[in-house]
Amino acid sequence: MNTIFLIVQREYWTRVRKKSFVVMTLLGPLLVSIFYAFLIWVSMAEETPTYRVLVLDETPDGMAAELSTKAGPDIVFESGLPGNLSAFTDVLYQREEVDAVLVFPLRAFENPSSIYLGYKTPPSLESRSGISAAVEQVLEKRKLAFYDIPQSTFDEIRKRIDMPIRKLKESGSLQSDDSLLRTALGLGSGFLIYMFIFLYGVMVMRGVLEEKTNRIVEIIISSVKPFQLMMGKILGIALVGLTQFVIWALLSGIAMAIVGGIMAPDALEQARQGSLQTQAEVGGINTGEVLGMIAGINWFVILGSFVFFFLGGYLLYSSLLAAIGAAVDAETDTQQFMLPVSLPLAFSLVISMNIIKNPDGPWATFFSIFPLTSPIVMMSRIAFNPPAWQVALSMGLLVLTFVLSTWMAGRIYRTGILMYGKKASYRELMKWLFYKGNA
Amino acid sequence: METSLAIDIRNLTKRYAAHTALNDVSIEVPKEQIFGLLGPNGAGKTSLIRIINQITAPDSGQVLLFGSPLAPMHVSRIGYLPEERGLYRKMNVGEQALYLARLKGLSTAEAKSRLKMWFERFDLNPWWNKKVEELSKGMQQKVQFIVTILHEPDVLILDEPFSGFDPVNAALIRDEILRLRDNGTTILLSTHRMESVEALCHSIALLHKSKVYLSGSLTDIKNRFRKNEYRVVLEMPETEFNTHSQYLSQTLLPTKLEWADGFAQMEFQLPESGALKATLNELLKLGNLVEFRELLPGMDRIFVETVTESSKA
Repeated sequence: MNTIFLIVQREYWTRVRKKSFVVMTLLGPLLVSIFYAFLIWVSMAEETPTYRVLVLDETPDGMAAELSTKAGPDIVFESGLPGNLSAFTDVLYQREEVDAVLVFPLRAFENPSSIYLGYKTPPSLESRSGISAAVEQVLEKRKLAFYDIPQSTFDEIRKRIDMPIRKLKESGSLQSDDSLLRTALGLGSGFLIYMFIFLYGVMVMRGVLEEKTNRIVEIIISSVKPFQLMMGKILGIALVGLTQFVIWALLSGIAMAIVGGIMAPDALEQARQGSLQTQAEVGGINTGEVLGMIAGINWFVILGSFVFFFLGGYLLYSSLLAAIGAAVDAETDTQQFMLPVSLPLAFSLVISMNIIKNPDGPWATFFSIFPLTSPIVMMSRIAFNPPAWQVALSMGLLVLTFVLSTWMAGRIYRTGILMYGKKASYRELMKWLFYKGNA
Repeated sequence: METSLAIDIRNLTKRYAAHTALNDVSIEVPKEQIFGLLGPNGAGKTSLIRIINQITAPDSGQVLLFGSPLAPMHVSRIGYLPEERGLYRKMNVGEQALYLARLKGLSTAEAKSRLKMWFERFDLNPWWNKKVEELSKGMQQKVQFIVTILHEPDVLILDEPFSGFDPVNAALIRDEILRLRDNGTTILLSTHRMESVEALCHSIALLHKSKVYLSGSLTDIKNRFRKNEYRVVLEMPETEFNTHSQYLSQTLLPTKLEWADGFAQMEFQLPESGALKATLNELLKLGNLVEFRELLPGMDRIFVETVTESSKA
């Protein structure tokens, strides 16, 4: 209708032209690229202070002399000093740069658990594992010699295999494992929907509250129906959100490309190799396979359901938030009503992180169909190809629920926006639901 | 259907969960007049106005606008200035006025040209591109008034239109209201300010406790509240006044009796209107009659009297 269009237009234009919108829309990608640059920088120039360890070797054959100097770039072993523990302790506390004493007691080989590290400054997690590994290596060498096992034999025994994990299709052919990609895709889109619902749902609530506290609402609803005003606002803000996301996506892509280009390309290469390594550990994948996986995912289904759950979830929650905005007089009063709305949202995010482990389990199934959680949870599942009937049921219920919720919100809204200086309780809201029909 | 009524309110009842806002209310608002809707806070005025504006619906009863039952298309024939009124604070003045006008069904071009005329008239032109929050309260009220009448409604509903105005701007608005009436607009004026009722309204209805307690033309109502109170001024020297004053205060039991600058002023109430002629004859013998008039009750007195009386009942 023409008036709804006018309202949508106003809601959209006034918001899109706001300084805060322009700043956030441009700053968003900037923050993303700064974060990205920071990640690269951290992986490149990781400079931790040296952890200096004095080695007190009481073993008869100087076992500690075999301590690898390559325990870590930040760990330095200082051995060969004479003296007993108390002398070492004195040195530890006299020399500022020394952080700990590593003690190899007399019978360290026979009783390895007697080896210990006594520190002045607590070692970082990395230093801990570095020192432990160095000590284990020494013991390992000693044991190999003791049992007379050649190093090469031992290496052969220890060799790791990278067991390929593949999808065995009905036809008998093998296909690359893409469950990681699907997980990332599901979680990513679930999180995007969560953000969108929260950011813009709250914007709807604020807008309603603004109209109420400004006292402009009565002027407007003498021209249009309250429901039209509410829906116009919800739709207008949905468009604002879509605009912002599209700009973000475009700018983020551009910004990341630029940052990637500026930062040393070899660092990027390093990072890529690093990530390939981890991927290789899990499944052994090469670039060609990645491309194959991307091609193997049904993007039409994913994008389609993303838009559907995106809009469905937003309509459901923003109508509830609009009702809250109409029911109260000031933003501080929204708290008591916000909790039951934000709880299922936050809950669905937690659920979807867990169901990734078992995307077809009973919990995953239930919460991906339950309409208050389905927009996020079903979206996280969708990449795992859940049964079609579940998706259909979830979508159907979501539509039914948002029709019901906008109807309810409309009734609370039209009464609430004209109630000034009255604190609404849940009981009050129930009454508003059943007031006789308005014009 | 031809009718002399702009708004015909028939047996309206509106109940909320805890209380009844309107109880079998019937009011007839004649065309092309200023009609005063009076009543203390909580009497049901706003509920009634919201029903006429189709913001809420009655539980029972009917409202006819120019003879036909209220329908969505009537929205563009009504202009409504609510008591609780405001504007989007962060939005530009001109843009906002344009938006509100378009919601009432005006085309952009039409709204723009009319707004230009009104902004000129109300000295608002320099503010077109300013944000509403930069305007003084009085200026915001002017903008709201313009937006209310811009679509040239047949019926104008004004709820406390003068609140927030300084005397100069209140006079400006009052003149506009009178001009609109002369051009054929029917105006429903809801207010507490009895001086504006006396100055503007032809007829009124007094709502109290969700019911109509008084209605009719201002003259009729005042006549109903006549109490045979009169004011007489006679020209006489002070010495004579002193001689007659005892006689006067005994026979007339005046509420006011005093002499100043050669004139004796008295105000008194007669037990019945029939006694007027004889009393006046007696007074004429005492001096030259300079002024004689009946003291009609003011609307504020009628208002207070009706409300307190009904509260006692």
